[in-house]
Amino acid sequence: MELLRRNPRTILWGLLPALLLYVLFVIWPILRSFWYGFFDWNGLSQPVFSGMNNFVEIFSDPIFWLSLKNNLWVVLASVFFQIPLGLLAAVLLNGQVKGSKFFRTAFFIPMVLSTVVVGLLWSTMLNSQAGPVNALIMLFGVGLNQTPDWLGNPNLAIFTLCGVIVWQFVGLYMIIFLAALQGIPDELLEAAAIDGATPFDQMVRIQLPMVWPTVIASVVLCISGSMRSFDLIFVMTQGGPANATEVMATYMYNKTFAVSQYGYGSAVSLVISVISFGLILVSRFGLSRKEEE
Amino acid sequence: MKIRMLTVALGALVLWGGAVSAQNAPTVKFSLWHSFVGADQRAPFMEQRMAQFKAKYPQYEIDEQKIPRDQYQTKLKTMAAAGELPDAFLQWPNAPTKEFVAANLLADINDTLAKNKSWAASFVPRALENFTVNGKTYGAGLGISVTSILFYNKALFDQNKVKVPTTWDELKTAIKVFSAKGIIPIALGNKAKWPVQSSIMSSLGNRVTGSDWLDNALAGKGAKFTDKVFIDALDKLKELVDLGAFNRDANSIDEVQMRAYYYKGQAAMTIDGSWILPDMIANAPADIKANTYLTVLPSIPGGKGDPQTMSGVSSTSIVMNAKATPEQKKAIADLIMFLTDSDAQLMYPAYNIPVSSKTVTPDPAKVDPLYTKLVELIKAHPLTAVYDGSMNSEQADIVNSGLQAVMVGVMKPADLAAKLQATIK
Amino acid sequence: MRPSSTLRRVSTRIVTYLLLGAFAVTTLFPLLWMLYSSFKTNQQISLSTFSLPTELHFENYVNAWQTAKIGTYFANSVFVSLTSIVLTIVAGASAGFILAKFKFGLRGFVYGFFIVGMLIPLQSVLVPLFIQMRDFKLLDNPWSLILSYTAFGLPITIFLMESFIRSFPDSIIEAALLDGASIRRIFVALVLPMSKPVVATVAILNFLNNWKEFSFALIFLTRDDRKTLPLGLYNFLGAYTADYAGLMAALMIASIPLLVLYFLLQEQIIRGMTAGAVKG
Repeated sequence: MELLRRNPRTILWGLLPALLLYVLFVIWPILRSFWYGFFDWNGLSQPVFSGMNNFVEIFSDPIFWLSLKNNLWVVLASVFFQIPLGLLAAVLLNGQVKGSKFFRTAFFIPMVLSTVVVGLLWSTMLNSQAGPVNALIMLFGVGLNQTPDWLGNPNLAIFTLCGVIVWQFVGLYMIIFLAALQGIPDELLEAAAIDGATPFDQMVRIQLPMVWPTVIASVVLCISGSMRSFDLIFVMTQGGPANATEVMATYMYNKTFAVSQYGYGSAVSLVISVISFGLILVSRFGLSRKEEE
Repeated sequence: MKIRMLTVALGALVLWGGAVSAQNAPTVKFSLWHSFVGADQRAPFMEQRMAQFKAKYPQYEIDEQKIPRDQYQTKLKTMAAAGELPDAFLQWPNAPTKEFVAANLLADINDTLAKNKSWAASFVPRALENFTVNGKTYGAGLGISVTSILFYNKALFDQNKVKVPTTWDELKTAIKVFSAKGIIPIALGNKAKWPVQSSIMSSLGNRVTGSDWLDNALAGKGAKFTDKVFIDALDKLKELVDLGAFNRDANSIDEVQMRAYYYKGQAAMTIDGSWILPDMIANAPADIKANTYLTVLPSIPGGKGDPQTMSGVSSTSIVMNAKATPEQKKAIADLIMFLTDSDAQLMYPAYNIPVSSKTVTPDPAKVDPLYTKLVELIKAHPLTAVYDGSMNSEQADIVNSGLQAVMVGVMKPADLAAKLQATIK
Repeated sequence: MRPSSTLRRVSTRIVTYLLLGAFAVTTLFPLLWMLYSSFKTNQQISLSTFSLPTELHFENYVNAWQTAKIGTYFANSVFVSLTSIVLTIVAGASAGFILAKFKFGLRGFVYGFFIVGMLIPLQSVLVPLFIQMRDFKLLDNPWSLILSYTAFGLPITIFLMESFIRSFPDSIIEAALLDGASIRRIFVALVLPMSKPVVATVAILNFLNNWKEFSFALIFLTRDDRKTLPLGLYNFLGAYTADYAGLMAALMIASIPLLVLYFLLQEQIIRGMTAGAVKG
C-alpha cells in the first residue's frame, strides 16, 4: 500500500513494545545460552573455554544423530498430519455441520489436558503386557507376544509417539484455521456451490488458497514446535528404550541436568536452533513459491 | 525543671531500650531446601521433626523450601549454575556430593563429628562413608536404602510347588514354571533406566565379580570393565531377559506400574528397593502383603562375590554451603545431628524409613510386619556398593542406558563394557 | 437433482460423522477417565486402571486442594496468565499489523527475528533468564513470569496475527485513510474488531501455555505464596510413588478455567465478520 510505505515513526512505535520485551527477555538469554556452548562447564565449577570442542563431540555422537533422525520423523508427522487434519476439521466444523460446536470442543480437549495425564493414559492404553489396545487385537486370535510392542519395540516406538503427538495437536491447528476461515466471505462459497462446486472443490479452490498465509505460519509453528518436542516424549518413554525415542530436546536435557555437562547441553540447543531455522527457511521457500502461482 | 524531666525521660528510654534488646538473643537465619513434600514418604517425618527442631532452637530462623523430587534436581542445578545455592540443602550421596565438593561448594562436618563422638559412632559406616571425600565428611545419611531386595509372594510359590530360589538354577526353574502358567516371574519397571542398574545389576554383578573388582576398575588399577567377569555378569542379565523372566513391557513402564503387577497377584517376584515399603504397606491388598517375604538375590555358580550380600547405599543428607557464615554452619550442623540422632531414628520406623543407626532397634510391635522383615534382612546381610553410587554421573548414564540397550538387544555386552572402559583415564 | 448424487451426499455425510465421532471418542475419553479416576483411591487406580469407581471419594478433592495449595496458587496463576495475555495481545497485534500491512526494508529481517525465539528448548534459557531476573530484582515476583510469558508468547501471536491481517483487503484501509483516519485509529477501530477471531485464538493459546507452564515458575518462584498451580501439581508425584487420585482431582480443578475460557472465546472465533465491512 503506497500510503503506508514511508512511515518510519508509525512502524517504529508499532513494533517497539514487542521488540523491547522480546530482545530483553528472549534474545538476550538465548544469546547467553548459546555462548555457554563454547565452554566446558559442568554447571558447578568455573566454565573453561573450549571453542568448538562441544560441537565436534556432538557431531561424533551416534546418539545425537539418532535423536536428530527421530526428531525429523516427528517434524514430518506433525507437518503432514497435524496441519492437514486440523484444516480438514476446521473446514468441516465451520458452523455448518450439526453438532459442530460439540465436536470443536471435543477436538480441543487434548490441548487442555496436562501432559502427565495424556502420557499416563496413552502408555496404559498401549501397554504391551496388559493394555486394552493389545487386548482388543488379541481377540482376533493374535498371541500376546505377537501383538505390537507399541512403546517397547525400538523400531516402532517413535512412530507410536508421533501418533500421540499428532492426536494431541490437531485441535490447535483446528482453531487456528477456524479463525482464518472466518476471513472468507460466505458469498464466495455460496456462489461456487450454485455453480456446481462440491464441498471438496470449494475447499481446495477457494478456502485453501485464501488461508495460505496461515498455512505458512502454521508450518513455521509446527516445525519449531516439533523440533522442540519434549514433554510428552519425556513422560511416556524418557527417550527410551535404549534411546530409540530420543529426540534432540531430551538429549539436551539429559546432558544438561542429568549428566551435568552444561556447556555441551547449551551447544546442543544452538544446533537445534540452527537446524530448525534451516528447515523453516526451506519450507517457506517451498510454500511461498506456491503462493505466487 | 524541663531539663530534669528530659533526663529522666531519656534515662527511661535507654533502660527500656536495653531491656528490649536483651530479650532478643541474636537470631541465626539460614535457608533450607529439601524434597520431602507431598507424596514423598519422609514428608510427614520432616514436618514433625522440623517443628521439634524449631521448638528446641528458637534462636534459629529457618527459610524452609520444599520442592518435589522430580523438580528438585533441576532447580538445585540451575541455582548452582547461577551461583545461588541455599545455605543448607538436601544432597545425594557419592557422585553428586563428589561433584559439589570438587567445585568447592560444600563445607565439611569433621569438627561436628569430632565433638559429638557418640553421635558419630552410632552410624552404620555407609551413612558417613557415602558422604566422605578425601577424608572429609560432608553429611550423614537420613536412613539407609537397600536397593536389591527380592520380594516374593509365598502363596504363589506354594500353589505352583516352586522352591523360593537361592541358587541360579533354582531361579531359572522358577522362571520356567511361572512363565508356563502365565504368571510374570519377576515384575520390572525400567522406564527410568536406573532400576535395573541399581536393584538388579549392582548385586548380580557383585555376585559374579566380587566387591574389589568394581573399585579397581573405576580406579583403573588391576581391573577393567572389559574383563571377562563383567561381561559374564552382563550375560547373566541377558540370560534372564531371554528366559522371559520379566514382563514384556519391562522397559516401558515405571516403578509404580511395575508394582501393580505384583499387587494384583500377577507376578511372583519383584526386585526393588527399601523405598517401596511405604507404598506396599499402604496400597498392596492385605492378602498379598501377608504373603510377601523378603530375601536377597540367588547365588551364581562360580561367582567371586559373597552370595549373602545385597546392594545398598546411604540415604540423602542435609549438607552445608561452603559460603555459610560460622553461625549458620553451627546451626546447620545442629540440624544435621537433630535429623539423625537416636531420637530421630526412633521416629523413622513409623514412616517406614530404614534406620542408619547401629544402636537403634525399632520395636516390632509398633511397626508393620513388612518393616520388621526388612530390618531382619538388613541385620542378616552385609551391604555392597550400588553401581551408580561408585560411578560419576557420566558413567552412571552410560551404564543405565547401556543396560537397557542390552536388555532390548540393541547393544552387545562387550560394547557396553568398552564404552565404560573408555571413561577410565 | 439426480438421485445418485443425493445418495453420495448422504453417504459422505454419514462417513464424515463416523470419522468425527471416532476421533471425538478418543479425545473425550481422557477427560472422562480423569474425572472418574479422581473419585477412586490410589489402590483402586493401581489395581484396575479403567474401572469405574464403586464409591465416590470426594475427600480426594479436599486433599488435593490442600496438598496442591490450590487456594493460593490458583489466584497467582490467574493473575499471571491473564496479565500476560493482555500484554501479549497488545504488543503482538500491533507488531502483526505493522508486519502485515507496511512495507519497509527490514520487514523480512524483523519477521525472521521473531522466529528465533521459537526455536530453542526452554530448558536452555533457564540459567541465563534466572540470572537476568535476579539482576533485575524480579525473583519471587509474579512479574518475572508475566514478562517472560509475554515475551515468549510474542512469536506465535505475531505470526498468527500477521497472517490473518495480511488477508484483509487493502481497499478498506485505503478508504479509511482517504477519509482522514489516523493509522492508530484504523488499528483500534477497524483492524482489531475485524480480527476478533484470531485475537480470540491467540488469547486461548497463550492462556493455555501460560496456565500450564512450570519450568520458569519452578526457577523464578520460591516463596510459597507466589507459586502458580503447576508447581502444586507436582507435589503428587513423589520420587518412588505417585498419588494419582489426588493428582486427578487437582487436575480437574486446574482444567476448569481452561475449559471455561475456551467456551467463552469459541463464540468469538466463529462469529466472524458478519457485521461485514467485507460485504459489498
